[in-house]
Amino acid sequence: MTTTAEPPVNGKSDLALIARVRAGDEDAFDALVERYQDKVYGLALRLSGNSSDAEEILQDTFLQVYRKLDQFREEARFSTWLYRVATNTALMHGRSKRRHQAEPLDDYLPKFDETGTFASSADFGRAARADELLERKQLAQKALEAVDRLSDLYRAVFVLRDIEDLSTEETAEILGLDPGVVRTRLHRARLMLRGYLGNLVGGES
Amino acid sequence: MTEHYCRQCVELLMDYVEGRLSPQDKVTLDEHFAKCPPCLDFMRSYRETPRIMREATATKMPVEVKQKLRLFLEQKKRMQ
Repeated sequence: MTTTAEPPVNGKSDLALIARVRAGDEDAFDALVERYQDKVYGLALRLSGNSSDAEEILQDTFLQVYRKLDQFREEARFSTWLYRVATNTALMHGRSKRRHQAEPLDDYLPKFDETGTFASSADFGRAARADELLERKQLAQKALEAVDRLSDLYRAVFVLRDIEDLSTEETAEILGLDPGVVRTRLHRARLMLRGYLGNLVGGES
Repeated sequence: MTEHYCRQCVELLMDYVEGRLSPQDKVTLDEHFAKCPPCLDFMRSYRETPRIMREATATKMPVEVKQKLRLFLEQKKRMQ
């Protein structure tokens, strides 16, 4: 018997898979999940700071994608739309759990004296070697804690731009921000995290 | 360029490490780094921070989380 079976879903583009999902092909949706689940889980973990919340965000994200796929407009990249759904889900999840009671990281911003010179002569260079100076598991835990201590304003920008390695423009699109605002917030987030790393390795107070 | 340039230097770091400074500003910063070891160290640690954070928070999705996601979605689809 000859068949006219469709080619396997795994080799198809996102848009081709979405067209098949819209035509009722459940395997095509499963293929989208398979393609992006690791990325979404990683994003959810970094935005939420813990694995149990990340698991809930992962599930909620793909359920929303399944239910709202009709709202996806093909002029945007599917991955950008998916990241927006995942980021919004993570931020809403965090707010509903009243997160971020922990002390913010503002104290780790650089300090200057009245002449515009660094207020202390700390060994700033140690922060650049935090991954050599700290045990891997300890650093991993502290890094997640640090990201979690960033306020919503900075955390999503830093995670999308510097951890997920998206462009400034894509980060801005996902968060509904002006690219200039993304850059300003990213700079401040990097400064806070840099100071935090320096403090961890004992180079700065 | 003044000697007390550290604050301005920090403000320009993002553009510096991403190669977005004007040639003139880049020369000004490079000259400052040559004279100011704390700013040079600060720039290096600023530049390394995203990489360190990215590597430290790298994760692999556990197999059981994948299985629970698949079961969760199958259950929800049946309820549609």
